Amino acid sequence: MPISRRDALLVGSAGLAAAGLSGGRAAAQPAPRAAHSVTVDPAGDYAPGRPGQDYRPVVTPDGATLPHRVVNGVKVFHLVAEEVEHEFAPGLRATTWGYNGRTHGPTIEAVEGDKVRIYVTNRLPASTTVHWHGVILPSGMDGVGGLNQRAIHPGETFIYEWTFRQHGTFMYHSHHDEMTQMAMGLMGMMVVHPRRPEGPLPDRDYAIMLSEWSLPAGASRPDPNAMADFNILTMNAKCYPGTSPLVAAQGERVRLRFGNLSAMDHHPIHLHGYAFTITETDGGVIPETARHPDTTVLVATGSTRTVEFVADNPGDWAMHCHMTHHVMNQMGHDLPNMTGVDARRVDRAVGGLLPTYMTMGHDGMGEMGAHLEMGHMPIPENSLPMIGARGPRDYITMGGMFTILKVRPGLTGDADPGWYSNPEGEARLASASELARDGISEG
Amino acid sequence: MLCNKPLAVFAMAAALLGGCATLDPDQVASDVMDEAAQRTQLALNGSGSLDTAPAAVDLALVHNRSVRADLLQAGVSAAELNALSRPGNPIFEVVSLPGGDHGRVLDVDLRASVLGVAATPWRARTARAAYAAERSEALLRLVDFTADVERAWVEAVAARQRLDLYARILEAAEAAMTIAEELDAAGNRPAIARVRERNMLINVQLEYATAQLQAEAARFALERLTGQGVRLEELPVALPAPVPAILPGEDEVLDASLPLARSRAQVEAVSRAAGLENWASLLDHAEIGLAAEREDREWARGWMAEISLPLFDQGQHRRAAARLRAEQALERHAALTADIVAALTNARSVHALAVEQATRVDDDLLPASEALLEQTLLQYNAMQLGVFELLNAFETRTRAGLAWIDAHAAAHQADIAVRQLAAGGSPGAVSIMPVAAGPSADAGDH
Ligand SMILES: [Cu+2]
Repeated sequence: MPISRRDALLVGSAGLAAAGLSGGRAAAQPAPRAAHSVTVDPAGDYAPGRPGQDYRPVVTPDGATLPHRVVNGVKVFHLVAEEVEHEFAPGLRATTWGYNGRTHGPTIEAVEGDKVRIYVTNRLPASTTVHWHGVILPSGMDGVGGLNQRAIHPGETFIYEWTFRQHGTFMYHSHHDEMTQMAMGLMGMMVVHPRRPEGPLPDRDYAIMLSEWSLPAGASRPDPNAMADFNILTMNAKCYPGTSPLVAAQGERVRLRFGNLSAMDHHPIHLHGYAFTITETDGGVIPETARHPDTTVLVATGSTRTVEFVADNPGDWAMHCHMTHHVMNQMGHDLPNMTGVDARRVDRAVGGLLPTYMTMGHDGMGEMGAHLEMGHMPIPENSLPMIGARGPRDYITMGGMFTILKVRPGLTGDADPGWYSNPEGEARLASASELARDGISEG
Repeated sequence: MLCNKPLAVFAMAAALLGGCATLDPDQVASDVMDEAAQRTQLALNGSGSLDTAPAAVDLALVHNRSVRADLLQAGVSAAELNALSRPGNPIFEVVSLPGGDHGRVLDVDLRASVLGVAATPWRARTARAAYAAERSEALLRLVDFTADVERAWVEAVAARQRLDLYARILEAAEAAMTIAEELDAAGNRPAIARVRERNMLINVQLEYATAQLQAEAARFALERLTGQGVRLEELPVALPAPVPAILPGEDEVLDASLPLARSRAQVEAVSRAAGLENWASLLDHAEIGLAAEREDREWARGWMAEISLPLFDQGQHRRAAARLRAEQALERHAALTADIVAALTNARSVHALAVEQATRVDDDLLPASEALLEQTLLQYNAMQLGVFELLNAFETRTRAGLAWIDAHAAAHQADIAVRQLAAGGSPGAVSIMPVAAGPSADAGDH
């Protein structure tokens, strides 16, 4: 990425400190500095960052990037808060709230030093505001309804203006009647690239917003009153099998930016097949000395985490929240525990009254999705109970906050390369001779 | 001869004034039966069965012996009327005494009660009114009886149908118990859950037992009326849809009313009796007659008259009693008229309400409870609701069936009451059961 010479001269102290380039050894008493990450002069004047030149654009899977235009050196964005007909996954739609026709809103992308002017038009039936989560800006631009500004009434357009004096992964969301408006989906990711990047740039840069919804099976509007019964857990407002896979060519450097604006939950996001390094929070870049390798990153609600790794292990790799109830779709939670009961006896007792009755749950939920897929058990219209997806080798009994990282040698572009063929072999049924060879008794 | 001209004329006049036409008592019963059939519009052809309410009526009319006894009573009344329509017989008296030289002395009297002969027309009319009352009574019993049989049939069918539904509810409770036992055996729930389920099962078992008792009571009532052994299994499995009744008008009902006809006849009878009493009380004992005496081989003829002298009792008390009786009958008649009008109003509004309720059950409640079960099954399939909720929805649907039975039985009962009035039957409040509500027991915590 080309970096202008002028920009290079304006590297801020924090960025330098983080990069270990500040010559800190010489400073016996380092000056107190902000925690956030800066590579620009706070008082400097910077040309608007250009995509492809000053930064490599981030990709929001199943989402979009908010377009902007430059007016007199200011990047001008326009967010329109409005009602949206959203699809969480095939077979499950809902009327949600979002921005610019999408739920969640498109990712706002900028470069450190950019002056931005963001118009917010309210086409909702309710007043709203937008808060710029993690962004250092003047108090009057912070978007807390009643505190920093009056609410934007339906039909009104407000202007927010500031200059980015930091870089990192942030979020935006309604800060007026949050419980309702965030439950309805009013949120989006915000990525601010460093004016002077450190280290190698990622080849793939993905932004993923984690959120949760309460949508009873058969209903079509999220319930903002829910406090515990969240049954749709999403990445960029999609639940598996609605989530698009992430792709990378073998050997590429991959950056994943997670944001979490779930109402009541943190999400430990686990990536199979890799260890990664957690490099940033929404507060800023984590000093290298404080970084550690991990396979799961806990993304607390109201925070972002950025991880990086080199995709050197080809395959289809699950990436999901590790809370098991967060990888289910519309599972009811107030059911009797049927595990281990004699299903035939129960079938006989109930089947006499209801011929289509079938005992479920006695051997777990694993068969459930496949049963539903076969269609002999009708379920409510517009619902996604227990549904996973037909995988290449069997039914994938996952839903919710689950996606797949597909790493292939020599892959170009963003298209789904299909299923991995496991050329190195895969788990299979043991043969009799193998069992005998290794002295394994099946009895 | 004895045939004295004035007396013969007197007797003939009395005979003419009395009831020349006589009733055939043996025919009365079948006449009453025919009229009852015509009034109730039931095809009574002796081929009864338990398949429909009219067929059950047919069956009962053939086999119920007390109905036949009532019919014979009408014949008895007819015979009594015939008897009362004749003049009192004259009395012939011969007295023979030993005479003197000329043989025995014979004293021959022929005399008749003045009242017994002269009052014959009045007495006959009074008796005719009394007979009309008796006949109306017999007819009324028959009309009421047919309504009673129809009512009993509806109740028996309803009770049988209820019993079937309670058996389904019991089956659902037993299934819930089975599941509770399974959950318990698998170690999935604390004992309290199974105990709770057991309590619910016992309650449903008791409900079922109550339904059995009610079915037995209804069966027995029908058996009594039909005079035939009745088994619940012989009855239809469900009540028929109520046929929209042709609601009769007030005048129509009053015209047809047998209790009113009986009452009218009674008014007439006591009024006539009162009229008769005005002079009968004075002529309490008045006889005239011919007397002949044979003495010395010679007949001597003469006449005789005999009268009680109203010195101590002028008959005013008898006349007062008769007058009051006539007033009393008029009051009763007026009260009965009001009663019938009120009963008709009641039967009509109960009918309208019951039909509306049955329609709502048919059009709304049954589809709604069916939809609830369907949606619950979808939610069960989607693992949003458990099997206990599913069984609850099943029970709710079944209890909607109970509401259907209650509403339809009520519609039938009101219809029977309306038809009973239209056929001239007794007025009375329509007694119906309140329509069953939803599940009696809350599902509880599963
Ligand atoms: Cu989670």
